[in-house]
Amino acid sequence: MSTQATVEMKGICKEFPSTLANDQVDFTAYAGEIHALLGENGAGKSTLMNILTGVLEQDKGEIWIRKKRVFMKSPKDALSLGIGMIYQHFKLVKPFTVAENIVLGMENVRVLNKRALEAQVRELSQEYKIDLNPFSFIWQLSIGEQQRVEILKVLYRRADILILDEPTAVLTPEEVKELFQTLRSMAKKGGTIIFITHKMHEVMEFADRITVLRDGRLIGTMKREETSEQELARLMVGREISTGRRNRENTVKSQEQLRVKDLTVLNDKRVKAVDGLSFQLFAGEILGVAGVSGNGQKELMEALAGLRPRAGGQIFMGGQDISRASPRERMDQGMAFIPEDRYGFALVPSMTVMENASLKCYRDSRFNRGGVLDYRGLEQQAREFIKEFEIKVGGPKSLVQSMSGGNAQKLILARETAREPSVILASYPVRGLDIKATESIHQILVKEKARGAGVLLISEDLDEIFQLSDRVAVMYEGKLMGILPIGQVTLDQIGMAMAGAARLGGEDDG
Amino acid sequence: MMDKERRGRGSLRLIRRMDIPGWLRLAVPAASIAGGFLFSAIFLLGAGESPLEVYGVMLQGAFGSSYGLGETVVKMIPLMLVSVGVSFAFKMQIWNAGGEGQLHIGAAAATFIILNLKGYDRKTTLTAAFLAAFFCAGLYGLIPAVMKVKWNVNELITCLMLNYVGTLLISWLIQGPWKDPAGFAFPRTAKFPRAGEMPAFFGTRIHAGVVMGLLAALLLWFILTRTRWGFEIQLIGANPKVAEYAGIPVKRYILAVMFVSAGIAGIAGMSEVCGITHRLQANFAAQVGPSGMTIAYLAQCHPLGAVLVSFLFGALLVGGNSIQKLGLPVSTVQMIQGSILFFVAAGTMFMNYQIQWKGGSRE
Amino acid sequence: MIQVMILATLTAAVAQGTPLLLTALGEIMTQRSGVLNLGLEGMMLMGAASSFMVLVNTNSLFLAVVAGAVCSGLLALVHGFLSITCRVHQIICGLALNMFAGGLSGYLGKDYNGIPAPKVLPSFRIPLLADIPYVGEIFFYQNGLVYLSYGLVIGLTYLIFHTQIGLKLRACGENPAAAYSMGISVNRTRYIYVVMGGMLAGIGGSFLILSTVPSWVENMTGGRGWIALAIVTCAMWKPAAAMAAAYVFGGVEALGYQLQAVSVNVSPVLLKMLPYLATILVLAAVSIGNQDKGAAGPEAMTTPFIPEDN
Repeated sequence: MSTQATVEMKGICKEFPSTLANDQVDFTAYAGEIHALLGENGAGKSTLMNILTGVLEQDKGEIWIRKKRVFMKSPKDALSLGIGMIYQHFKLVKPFTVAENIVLGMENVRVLNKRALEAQVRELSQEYKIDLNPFSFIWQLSIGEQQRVEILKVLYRRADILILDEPTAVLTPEEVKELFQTLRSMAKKGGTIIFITHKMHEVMEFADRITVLRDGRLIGTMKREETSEQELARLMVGREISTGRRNRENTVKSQEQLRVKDLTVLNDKRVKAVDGLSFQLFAGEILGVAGVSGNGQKELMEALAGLRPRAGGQIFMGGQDISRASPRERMDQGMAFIPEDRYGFALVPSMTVMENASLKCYRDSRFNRGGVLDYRGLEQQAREFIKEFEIKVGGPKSLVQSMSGGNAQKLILARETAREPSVILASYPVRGLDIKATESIHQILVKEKARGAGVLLISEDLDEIFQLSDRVAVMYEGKLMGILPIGQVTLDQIGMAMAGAARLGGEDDG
Repeated sequence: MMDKERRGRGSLRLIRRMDIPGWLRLAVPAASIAGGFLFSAIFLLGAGESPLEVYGVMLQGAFGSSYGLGETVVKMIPLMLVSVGVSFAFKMQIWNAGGEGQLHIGAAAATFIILNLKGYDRKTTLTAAFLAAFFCAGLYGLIPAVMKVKWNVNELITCLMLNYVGTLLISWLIQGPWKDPAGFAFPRTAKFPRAGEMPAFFGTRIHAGVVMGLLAALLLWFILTRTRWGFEIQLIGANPKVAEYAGIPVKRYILAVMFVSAGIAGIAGMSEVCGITHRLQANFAAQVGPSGMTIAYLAQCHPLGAVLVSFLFGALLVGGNSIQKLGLPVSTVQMIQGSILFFVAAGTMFMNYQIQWKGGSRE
Repeated sequence: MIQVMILATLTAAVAQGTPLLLTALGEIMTQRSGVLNLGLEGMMLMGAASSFMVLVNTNSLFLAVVAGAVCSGLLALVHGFLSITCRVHQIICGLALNMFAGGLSGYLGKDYNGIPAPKVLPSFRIPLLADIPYVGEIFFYQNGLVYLSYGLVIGLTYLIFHTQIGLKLRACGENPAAAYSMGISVNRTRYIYVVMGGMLAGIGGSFLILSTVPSWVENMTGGRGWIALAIVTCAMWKPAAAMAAAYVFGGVEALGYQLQAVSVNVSPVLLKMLPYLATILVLAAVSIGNQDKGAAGPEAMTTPFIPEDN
């Protein structure tokens, strides 16, 4: 490994209206290394990297690239310095082809000459062994392939400082390995690779050096050989954390709450997203569904909640056929839904906590007399939610947009569990939350399960699946790859099933 | 990327407000109206008019006499009905731009009833005309609503096209089949019988339409702020996806709200022909449609606010008529309205964002 | 006889369709950059009014067209400022623009009401092309702005789909965050196309008063701006398809006049409804046809872009 520092950030400070995102952070990365930037959500990792790529401007501090002080006003400036960023949410134009995305913004490509573009893209992808058809449209590609387009995009610009924001969140274990092979070969050619993550095992497996941030401050930088997973975890959170099982209540498989038979659902492009899927969900269990997102999870949950039409199959709740029931009828039968899109689906950020807390119950006879709403009662209820679930917010009349993600999610859970549902559909319930909020959300779900609800938990985080589930299923290309009790399944098995390479075995999903 | 360039350059920065203070909700529209008048003054000056004189004449015309004041209320009536109706749909982010057409259809329906329903007393005749206007206009408003719900056709364009169709339909009726045989060459229907006239008050032209408008505003205000249906409408307006998630049948709401919204606009037509013209004739409600939309937006879709703003716009129309003696066309008023709307729209920025000047120089 | 009539109708369809086409082409650029400008009607009116005033005072057709483009461009700039910089609700802003421009054109044009145009855009034959039977008569015996519109259709199609400039334009409308991350100044791009869109709408208005209806009357556009807006949607934001759609609407309008000319026993008032009804029908048909294709139109249209958030 060379010792030439390519990136030096000194005393970086960045303040947002409500938080100090970076507080005197120093950061150095060298040519030829893979450097992990580790920290919880909200630790300031993304802010620091957004400053390095010119998206944000620091309030204080200096940036030196290859020993020269630089001032960047936009991503363009960063790119011209050879700094390329691969975002967690890909910055790809969906109706464009791979080639069009790659040359977008390149001033030397004035006219889109199909043949020349193809040659250039092919050359590049051969050099780095990244296999892609230049003329596929982005919307036709899998998530893993889209990430490869992002990498090609920065390579095409001859960037040799590459920053990846949570690059593995959306990949199968196999794809993760491939990604780091590519990254390693780039580092060997003298590139500087920085990746943001909060997963300790990835850091220990792939990084050369590690920088830990917490609450916007630098905690330390160390070599991989000189640290351990436990130490990193402690540095990251500031206290010991349990990585063990959170669902310790053993309940017996009993009454069936939900049965899905041969369910088929189409996505927005009218392609089969859920393909003849069947399973049962029992009272007092958490059924964890692992899988890379985009394999039909969203469509499955929406169809179960009645928000997306079925193309075929049946859904039973408590033995009753609800296939044709409206969302409202399903709600009234005891179905609760925690959707993946918190602010676009479950909450209205511009409305008050009280109004958002009332979404599911305003029709109850206790809040409504002949159509006239009892706003005082609704306010009282919101106040109870705030107290019981320890939601941090000004009060029932505060707007939801002023809440943090964790508190917003608690509000959703408070509302959804208030009517003692028999089925809880939970999609990625802790996505983007910090460890503390994650713990409390998990506790709520375990409590609900203990009360007797059946919880269908969709997650791409295998740690979460193992911490919570009683039974585990894997979803791949719209199908379940089998269902197994938690004690009988290994991480490897799940990894293979997520990649579609092998079934889990056990109960058939038919 | 040079250090020098860095310094001395500041930039405006908009920061989203988490909570909008109550005083801003009133201050911004008030300042916007003032801004609109100031902005129009530039164009008046540019064309060699004295803005002070023009505005003075307008003020005098609208408020300077009991006749002017009465006329202001008379002009306010259709504006109030259309804006209250339209704001009901706006609340749901359904762009009912079809007030003009719906008003004409309502007027035509009322005219048809009154001219054909002979020999009944005033109460029966007017009730029948009211119902006919409401339902026919409501059905007319359902056309864009159905097209939106079924095929996702932009309701704004269909509404506007239907405005032209509606007004042309009226001109055809009054030039052709419904033309007053005793009316010489005038394109208009026969005069209504006494039973089809709405009573006027206080020796002015102010008629019962003002009561209908106030009642409609009160009713919608109550529905929107106090009932579960109002809550559902506000939810759909805020985010239709969340509303569906909460189990609300959004499509049914779009149809129902458009029907009511258009129906109320239709009442505006009925009240004009029964209260003012006592016959269907050309240009009986010029500019009411677009003004109604402006008012609805200015009042932030609040039905009671719409009443208040309608009064102001009524004065603007009366004042607009009086500046004709200065040789200015009525479209001057339209220009002023447009610039008010510009400023109100821009004003939302001040409501939603805090504006900070971020200086460039440092170190 | 019938052949002459059909030929006359088709020629008129091109002439009547051109102001719609010019305006729609401008709006295609505006919308593809991610901004919805509903103010087409107002901008056309302002274009027509300013063209007419300049024509009467200078007697120069060229200056008249330039005046139309500049005035509407300025109006579009106001819309750009409000919707791009101030992030104002674009529908409201567009409605305000219509009302303001409609009022302003009536106010400024008050002394020109009813005056006939001193001259109109002359039609001329394109050598060789005009000699093609039928086609030549219909397409190549028109005025200069019609030829300009042909050029624009070809040029814009090439620009939008085959060049880096077009790539940037489309990226700003589809995924501004992606465009920004690739070094494109999204809001500057949007300003440019909003103003260009406004200028074309202004030229559309000029065409109207310099050829179609050569006399100034308040609100003389009669909803053509809204029809142009409908054309953009019907044409799925493609210049060539917009051309076809514009000629269809122009044709409907021309048919109305032709039917009057041969004194068909239908009230002229009802015939005037034809373009509006046609617009509704075509919009519905296109929407039904595209139902399976999911959301149409630039993904980020009407969404302001805030660099700090990305």
